[in-house]
Amino acid sequence: MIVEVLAQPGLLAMTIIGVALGIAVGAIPGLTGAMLIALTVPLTFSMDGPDALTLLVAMYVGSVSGGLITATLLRMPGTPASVITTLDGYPMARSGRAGRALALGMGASFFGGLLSWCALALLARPIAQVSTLLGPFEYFALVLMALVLVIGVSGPSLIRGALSCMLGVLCALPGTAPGTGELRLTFGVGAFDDGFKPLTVLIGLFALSRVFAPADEVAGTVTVGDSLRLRWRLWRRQGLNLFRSAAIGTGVGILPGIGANIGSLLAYSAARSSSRDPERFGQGCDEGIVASESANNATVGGALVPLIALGIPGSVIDAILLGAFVIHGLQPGPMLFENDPQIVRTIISTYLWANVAMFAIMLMTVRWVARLAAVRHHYLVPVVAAFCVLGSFALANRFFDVWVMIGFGVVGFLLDRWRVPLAPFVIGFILTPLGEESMVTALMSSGGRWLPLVTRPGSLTFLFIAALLFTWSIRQQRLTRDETHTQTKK
Amino acid sequence: MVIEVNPINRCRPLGRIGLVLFAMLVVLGASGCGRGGGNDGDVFPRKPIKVVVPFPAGGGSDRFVRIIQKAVRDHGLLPQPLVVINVPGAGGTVGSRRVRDAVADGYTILCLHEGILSSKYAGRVPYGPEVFRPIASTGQSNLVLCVREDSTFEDLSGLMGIVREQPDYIRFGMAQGSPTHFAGRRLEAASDASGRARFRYVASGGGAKRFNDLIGGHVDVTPFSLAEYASFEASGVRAIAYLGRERLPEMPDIPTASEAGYDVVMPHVQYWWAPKATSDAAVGRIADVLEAAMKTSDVEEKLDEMKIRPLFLRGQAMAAHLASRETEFQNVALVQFDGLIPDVLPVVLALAFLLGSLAAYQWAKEKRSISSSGAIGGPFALGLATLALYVLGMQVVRLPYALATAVFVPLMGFVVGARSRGSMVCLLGVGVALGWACFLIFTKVLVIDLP
Repeated sequence: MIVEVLAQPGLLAMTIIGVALGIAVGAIPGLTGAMLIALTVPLTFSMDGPDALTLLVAMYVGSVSGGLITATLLRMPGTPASVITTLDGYPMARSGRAGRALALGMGASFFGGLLSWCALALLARPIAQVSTLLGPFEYFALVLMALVLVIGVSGPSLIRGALSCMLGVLCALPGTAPGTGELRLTFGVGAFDDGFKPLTVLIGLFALSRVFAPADEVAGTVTVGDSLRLRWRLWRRQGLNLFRSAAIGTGVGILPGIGANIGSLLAYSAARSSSRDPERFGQGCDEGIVASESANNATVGGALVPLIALGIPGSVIDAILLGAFVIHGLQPGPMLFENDPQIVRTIISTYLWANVAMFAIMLMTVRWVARLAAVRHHYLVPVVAAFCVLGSFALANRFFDVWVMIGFGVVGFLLDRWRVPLAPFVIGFILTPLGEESMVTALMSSGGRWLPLVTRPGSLTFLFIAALLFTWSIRQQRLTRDETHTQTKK
Repeated sequence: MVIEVNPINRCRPLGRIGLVLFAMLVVLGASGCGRGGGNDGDVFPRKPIKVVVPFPAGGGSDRFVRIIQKAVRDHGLLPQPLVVINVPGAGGTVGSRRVRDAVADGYTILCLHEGILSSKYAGRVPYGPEVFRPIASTGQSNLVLCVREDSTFEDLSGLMGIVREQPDYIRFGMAQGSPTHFAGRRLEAASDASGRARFRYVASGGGAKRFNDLIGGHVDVTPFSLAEYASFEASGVRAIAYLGRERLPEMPDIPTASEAGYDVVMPHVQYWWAPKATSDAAVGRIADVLEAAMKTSDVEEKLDEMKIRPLFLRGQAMAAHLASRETEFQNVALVQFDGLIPDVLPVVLALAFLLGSLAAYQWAKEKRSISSSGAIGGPFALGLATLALYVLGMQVVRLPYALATAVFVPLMGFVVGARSRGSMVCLLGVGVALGWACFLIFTKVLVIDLP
C-alpha cells in the first residue's frame, strides 16, 4: 500500500501530472476541481485502469489543496472545501503575512492527508460497514448541526450570519423538490427545473463578486515578504489541533454524501471552541487555517473509504470516480479486495504519494504563486471574469449556468457591501438539498413521525452538539461585546 | 496530451509590432472559428454529431453511449465522429428539453432510457416520446428486486403476503418518479387488485444510496439494475425476484416475478431520439450506424460486462415496443405524499424575513459605518454591463469564444482602470492567448460545446 506507485514510473508520472493540474485548476478562480475531474473522465477511457484511477485520485487531492491558494490570497476559494479557509487565511494574507498563511495551509493539508491515508489503509472495510448504520434521521440532524455551526463561526454578528445562511437555504429551494419530485419556484421556466448548481453559486458568490469590488479591496495590497519556513515549535503547538481536525475531517469524509465543507467547518468550530482566545478567530489566526485545511484534505481520504470498500460515493467527485472505476471494469466493494487487490493497493498508495507530491509542488511553487496576490487589479479582474464564465459554462454546457453565476456574483457583491458574511450562504446552499432529502426520506420511513430524531442516539448526539456549540457562541459573542463596550467607555 | 494553463501571464510592455501581430491573430482567430465547412453535396453527416447524454459523465447512460461512440470511431462506421455532450440535471429533463428545442438537422440527438416515460407520467415535464423522432432502441436490462442478505423474506410470495396483510409496513426504497417507483406500484397492483397491498415508500434516491439504506437497515426491499446488483451482491444483498420475461442465463437461481404469480416486467432500454422534424435520411443513417455498432464484438463484450442484453429495435418494432411501454406507465398512478412531508418554503421565507428585519434594524443603528464602506456605483454597473455583453455576444450572436474573449479581456481591463497604452496592449495579448488556449483545451481535449 506504500510502494506501488513508486515502483512504476508511469503511475508516478500520472500522480505528479494529476496533482499539478489539480492544484492549477483549484487555484484558478472560476475553475473547480470537480469540473476538471468530470471533464477528464472521458479522456481516461483509452488509458489503463490503474493509470486512469491514479490520475483522477491525484487530481482530486491536488484540487482540494490548490483551492487553498486563492482562498488565502484573494478570498476566492477554488473549491467549496476551502470556503472556511477564507475566514482566517485571507485576513492573515491581508495583514502582510501571506507566506505564513500559505505555509500553514500547506503543512496542515499534508498532515490531514497523511492521517486519513492511515485510516484508509488500515481500517477501510470495518469503518465503511459502520458508516451505513447512520440513516436519514442522523443525516438530517448532522445538516442542522452544520448550519448552526456555520452561523456561529461566521463573524461578529450572529444575526447577519443567520440571515446569510437562510438566504442560502432559500436559493437552494427552486427546482425539483426532493422526495415528492414536484417542481417548486421555477416560475414555469424549464431551465430552473434543476435549480442552481452549487459550483455556479460558489463561483459567482466568491470569485465574480470580487470582480465588481473596488481595486483597493482585491489585489495589489498583499506583500509576501515574510518567510515561508515555520519553526518546528509552531507545529508542535498546533499538534493537538492538527490531529483533532484531521480526525474530524476523516470521520466526516467517511459519511457518504457529505462533502469536505462540513469537515472543515466542524474542525474549525471545534478549534474555536477549545481555544483560549476564540475572538482571534476570523482575524487571521494560525489555528483557523490549520483546522480548516487539515480537515478538508482529510475528507478526501475519508471519502475514498466507502467508495473503495462498498462502492458508495462519499461526495460529488467520488461519484465521478465511481464511474471511472466501472468504466475500467473494476467494481468497488468487498469483492474488489479479493478479485483485484493490486488495484486497491495502487489507489491507496496513490493517495499517499499524491499528498507528498502536493506538498512538494506547493512548496516549490508557492513563492511564485503568492505573487498572484500582487498582480495588478486591471489584469486580474478580466482574467478572473473570463474564467468564471468559462468555468460555469463547462459544468453543463449551458449558458443558463453562466447567468446564474453572474446573478450570484451580484448577490455576493451586495452582501459583501452590507457586511453579511458569505460563508454561511454557501454552506446553507450546499447542504439544503442533502438536509431536505434526508428529512423527506426520514419522514417517509417513519410514516411521518418526527420522534426518531430525538430517540435515535446518533441524531440526538448531533443535535446535542449543535445546541452546545450554539449557546457557547452566543455567550462568546456577548462576552466580546461587553469587553469592547467597557474598553470604549474607558 | 495534458496541457497546463497558466492564466496570469506576466506582462511585459509590447511595442507596436506586438500590437500589429496580435491584431492579426485576432482576425485569424475570427476567421478560423467561423462555421464555414465545405459544401460537398447532401452527404450526411458533414460535421460531428452531438449526442446529448442528460446525465453526468461516468454514469450508466454515459458509459453506454461512450461504448457505442468508441465502436463507431474504431470501426470507421461514420466519416464524422459522435461527440458526447453531458447535459445533466432534473432526472434527464434538462438534456431532453435541449434536444427537443434543437435545430432538427440530425446533428443533435439524445440518448435517454425509460426516464423519458417516467418523467412524463410522474408529471415532471409535459412531454414524452411524442415530441421526438425515435431513431433506435439499443441494449436492454431489467430490474432485480433485492433484500438484505439476512432478511427473513425468502421469496417474492412471502414478501407480498406481508404487504397484503400489513399495508404500509414494508419499507420500499426507490427514487421518486423513476422506474424503481413504478416497479413498486406495479407489484402492488399485481398482488391485489383491490388496492389494499401497499408498500411504505422511501425516496432513498439513486442506486448507491438505495444500497446504503438497504444494508444499513433503513429500507427493507429495493430494486436495483442488473449492473448495480452485480456490484452489490458481495456486500450483503440478496435478490428475490428478477423483473424480466424469463430467467437470466448467467443468474439462473433468481426466479422471475411472473413465476411467483406477479406479472411485472420492468425493462430498461436505451432509446435514441432526434428532434421531431429531423429528416428520414438523417434518422435512417444514424440508425444504420447504431445497428452496425451494436453488432461489433467490442460492444457485445462490453455490454456483457455491464449485464446489458444486445437488443436492437428500429422503425415499426421500436414504435410497437414504445407504445406498449407507454401503456404500462400510463396505468400506474404514483404515490403522493401530501401531508406527510411539511412544506419548507413558508418556514424558510418566514425565517429569512424575520432575520432580514433584525439585520435591517442593526444596520439602521450602525448607519454611519455602513455608508463609509463604499458606494455601489458606476464601476459596478459598467463591469456588469461588459460582462453581460460578453455572454450575450456568445449566446445570442454566437460569436466564437476565442474572439469574444480577446475583445472582452481588454475591454473589462479598461473598465476597471487600465489606461496606459502598454497595459492595454498587454491585456489584448492576454485576451488573445487566453481565448485561444482555453478554446483549444476545452473543445479539443475536454469536450465542451463552446461557441
